[in-house]
Amino acid sequence: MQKETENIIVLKNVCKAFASVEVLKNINIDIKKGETAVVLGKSGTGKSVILQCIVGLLKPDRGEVNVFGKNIFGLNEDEFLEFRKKTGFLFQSGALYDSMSVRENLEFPLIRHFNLSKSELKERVAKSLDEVGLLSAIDKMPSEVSGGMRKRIGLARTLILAPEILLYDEPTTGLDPATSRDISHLIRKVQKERNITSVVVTHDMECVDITADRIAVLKSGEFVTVGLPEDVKKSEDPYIKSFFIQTNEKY
Amino acid sequence: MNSFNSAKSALYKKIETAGDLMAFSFRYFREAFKPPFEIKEIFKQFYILILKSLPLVSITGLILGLTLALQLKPTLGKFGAESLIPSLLSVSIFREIGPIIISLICAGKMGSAIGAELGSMKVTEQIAAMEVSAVRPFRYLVVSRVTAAIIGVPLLIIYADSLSILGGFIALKLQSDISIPLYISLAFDVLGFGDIVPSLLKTFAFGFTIGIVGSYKGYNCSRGTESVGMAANSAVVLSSLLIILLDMIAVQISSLF
Repeated sequence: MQKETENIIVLKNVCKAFASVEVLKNINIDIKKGETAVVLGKSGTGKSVILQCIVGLLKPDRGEVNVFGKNIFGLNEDEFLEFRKKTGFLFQSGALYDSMSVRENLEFPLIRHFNLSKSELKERVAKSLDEVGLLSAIDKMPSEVSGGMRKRIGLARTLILAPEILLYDEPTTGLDPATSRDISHLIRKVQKERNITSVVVTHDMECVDITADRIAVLKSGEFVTVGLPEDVKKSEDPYIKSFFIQTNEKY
Repeated sequence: MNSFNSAKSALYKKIETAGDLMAFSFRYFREAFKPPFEIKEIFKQFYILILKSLPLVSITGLILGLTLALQLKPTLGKFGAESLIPSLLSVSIFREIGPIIISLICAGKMGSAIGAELGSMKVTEQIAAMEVSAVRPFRYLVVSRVTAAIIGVPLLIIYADSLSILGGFIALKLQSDISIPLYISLAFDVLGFGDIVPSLLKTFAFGFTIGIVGSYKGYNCSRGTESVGMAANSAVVLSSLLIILLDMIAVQISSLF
């Protein structure tokens, strides 16, 4: 049984380079059970690379990624798949499978991981879509739904496996302010109701305000600060301040 | 010196690609026999890749036999050897022309389809989405397509070979009064084990080549929409080249027996 205060995700001295470009330099962070950590940073600073290292899509050149107390790159194939079942990832584009309907998108992981009857399958898909308010889109194809709907469906597909960790890669990018707000509230709701440990990568400040328990600010591949939102907002560092400054103050 | 260095690095890149493709092929054999099997997806891919190729293969096969017979007739006619046309047609089609032409057509149609589909799935992070949901995308996407191609391409070739023989009959019938039983007996009596079995065996290798190269190019597509087109294009070029090389090797081997 994991304690509430236990660190679920621990990154130790994580470094990652692509060719000669060092994207992550010595990344260290501990994320506790049920906590939502927001990684804030300008475009191209390596925010998404951190998420991809946590879920094992990218292997760091140096350092350790410990999730549920184990170094994920030391797991055997079966253990790694078990880890992946407990970890959800919401891609920036939603990454819905284009050749499948919304229903099939949600059924896809379920069929492969659980031995469910047709009625159970139907019920779980409907429940998951209802949770994100998109039950009406169940028989649509991904090409027939809007960007915001794609992200919600992507979230429903992720939630259907009941993950203990959820990683969000720029969940509100490219959406109008109202839809962005809805998605941010949905992230918060999911985290509260299911006590999911979450990492949100974003540069949408409203999303930060709604979702963050802790903020980590990334600059040139390193965290310049990791702390509570109220503390980070008070920072005098010009780079950190630039994220929290109001548009009318800026110009 | 610069051109020498760039030629050297290009050569290294080709060797690296060959090594990667080999590892990708071994991975197919490792994954293909491990449960759970994606049977439904194999059938789906068989329908998409093989059954939907039937119209193209039918027309090609029929016209191939028809034109070959029409080309042979005047030449053999000069020597009074028109009766050899059915046997010449069947041997050349079953042994060489049918497998190579239909395989190249399949490489164009299926190779580009597989390369483009997997490439766009890679670019839009759909393959990564499968990975993070603990589904083995290699088994679902690659094994199903390659298996469908291994089973389907030989069937398409046998089908097209039969239509070529029919095309040859139509061409001869238009210019003479040859009967079907006579044509069939002239065409098939000459065919032996060495004409059918080696050429059938090599078609499995051609099917595998089409499936694996298309999948490899799509699966390893880099980011950006431009790379999807490149994946489709290079899948066709590489699989066509490999088919011709494999055919040359197969001919050398079968000539030993």
